[in-house]
Amino acid sequence: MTYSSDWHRVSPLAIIHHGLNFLRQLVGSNPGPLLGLVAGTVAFARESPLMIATTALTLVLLGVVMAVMGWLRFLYRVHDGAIQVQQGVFIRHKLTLAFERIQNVRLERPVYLRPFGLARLTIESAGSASEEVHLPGIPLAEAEGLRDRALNETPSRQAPEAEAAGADSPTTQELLRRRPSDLIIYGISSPAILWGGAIAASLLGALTRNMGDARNQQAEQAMNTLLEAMPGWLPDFLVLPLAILLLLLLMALASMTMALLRYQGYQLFREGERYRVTSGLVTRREQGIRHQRIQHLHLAQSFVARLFRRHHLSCHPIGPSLPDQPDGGGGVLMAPSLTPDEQARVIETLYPDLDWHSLRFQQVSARFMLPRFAFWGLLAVITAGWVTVSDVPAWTLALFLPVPPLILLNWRRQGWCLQGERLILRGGLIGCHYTLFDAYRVQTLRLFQNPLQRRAGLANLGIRLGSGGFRIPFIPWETGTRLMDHLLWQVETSRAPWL
Amino acid sequence: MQTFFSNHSLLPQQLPSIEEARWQRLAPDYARMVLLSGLGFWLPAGVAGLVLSTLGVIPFNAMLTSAVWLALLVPTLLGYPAARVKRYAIREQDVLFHEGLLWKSTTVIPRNRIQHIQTENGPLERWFGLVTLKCYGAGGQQADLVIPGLEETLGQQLRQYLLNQAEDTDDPGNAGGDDDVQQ
Repeated sequence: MTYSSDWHRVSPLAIIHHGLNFLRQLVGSNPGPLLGLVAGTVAFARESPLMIATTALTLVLLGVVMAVMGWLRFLYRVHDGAIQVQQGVFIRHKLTLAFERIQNVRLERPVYLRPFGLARLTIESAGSASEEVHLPGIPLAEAEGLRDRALNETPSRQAPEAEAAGADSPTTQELLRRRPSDLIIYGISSPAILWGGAIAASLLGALTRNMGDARNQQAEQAMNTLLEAMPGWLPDFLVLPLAILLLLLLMALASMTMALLRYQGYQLFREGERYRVTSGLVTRREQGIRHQRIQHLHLAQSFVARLFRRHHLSCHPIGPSLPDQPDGGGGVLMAPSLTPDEQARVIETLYPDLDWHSLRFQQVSARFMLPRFAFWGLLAVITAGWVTVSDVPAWTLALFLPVPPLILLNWRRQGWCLQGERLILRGGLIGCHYTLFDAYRVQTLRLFQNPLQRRAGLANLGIRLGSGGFRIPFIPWETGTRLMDHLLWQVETSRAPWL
Repeated sequence: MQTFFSNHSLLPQQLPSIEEARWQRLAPDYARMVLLSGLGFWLPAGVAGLVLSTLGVIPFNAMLTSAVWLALLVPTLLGYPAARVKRYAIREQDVLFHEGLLWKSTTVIPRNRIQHIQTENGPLERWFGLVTLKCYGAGGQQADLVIPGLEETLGQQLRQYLLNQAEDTDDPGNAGGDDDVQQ
């Protein structure tokens, strides 16, 4: 064993990581209170600057002392086939994570660690987030050693043939590379754009709120001068659409920047039985996952992505997945904006015997549309009532016009396909999503129906994997039971390792 | 291995079907317990409300009172037949649970996917001598399959039985993955 069994300390630069994390939490989740605090402090500072200064100094000193203490008390070691970490200033936590339980590994090289040859290592197990090991600031060579060990350790109970396959020295094969143009497409077509919007909106909200209570008149005056300064030739009815357009542009810009920061220099490698992704402009990030750990594959396509004929692929390991996070959640391996060819190639590598182009999807029953029509119809009726009794403009009713075709489209998108041992689900609205997994990965199945579905002889089949739950809606009851029987048979006769 | 299984979605009829499972009813006390706990929760509040309104502490509104009573009483009373239709089945390879009066559902968890098993009983369940059996899969936050209203000895037996099975399937030839079955 190359690792001594002594306890190690991480580099003191880890303090920067903890500080940044704290700041990000403070700012990122909700900037409103922080801005309020700053405004309050500023107002207070005018009254008694000395008190503010001493308080601030005390807080900063306290923070520094806590950070140094936290660093001193953070120890890790590799011992007995496991990584052990102990940390905590007042309450000591000790965590032991066996190598064979590791689900995925992330190696990051933030800009402040790079000059010192240090890296940050995150190791996740199948359990909750509290079972995650973060090693912020360890030598790169050691981080790589730990990563390799974590990814190569085969559970002792693994089937012999799989062990033999993993034993031969893995050759590195580059599967995918992303150019900045791909990333720009990803930026404007990924759900991250909504996150950019949410952040912008919360910032704006906090700003306006603050303007409201701090310098009310001044703000109003500023707004008025701004409105007066607006070019006279700009008709009033164009102001709102232009503002929305501007906001959209800003969101797109923010999202593109995020995509470039996060995925610049993206490369996907295959090394034997494992996949590795390196990416990132400021923070070089390296993520690894063993093939066996991938529970399901998701191909997402927003309507913008459809314009570019791209799909965003993500490989999900076990654990609750948060699909709409900017970087696809913790352990999820992303392959952004794939062209159809690249998509087929990557899927072929991941699932060699699957012929992606020959898939034939089963439609779901057209009654799928009924509850949707009922919901939107009711909403339209309520709006119509509202329009007649109050002075809501009648054109709001026109907003419901695109709904029926969209419902129809949504129904047409629904589909499922069982090919060999794989189940592929299709969904989406304007874009087309696919979810692909091996039948033996199923954990729980649930067949359910409401009274109307029962009258029509239909049911929904809910499928839960370790990485999330899916649903095949509105299929005939017999098909549902037979599919359930078949999947159960696959799970119960499978001897493949599935965690 | 699966020559009888074509690539199209034609499913073989030979497979054991969930429709042929031998369903077991829950303990008869369970429905009573559900009714009692539901009524025990609402009745005191409802009676207190009635008393307060007759005393004139709060204004009495016949429409509102009857509406609230109906809204609370009907679902509570429906709990009784709903509890009576719940049933479970233990097969060689999986555990099934069926429930629902109008919204019906059948849930299955394969036994080689059970990560750990728990039995629970609250004060009322202890009074009736019942336990709730919870089966957890991997990666989820809550139990994947919950069978309430089992007689205590039966519940413990089932738990032990399923535990043993989970351990049995964990031999070197069959990598069930990381198991936490020793709960």
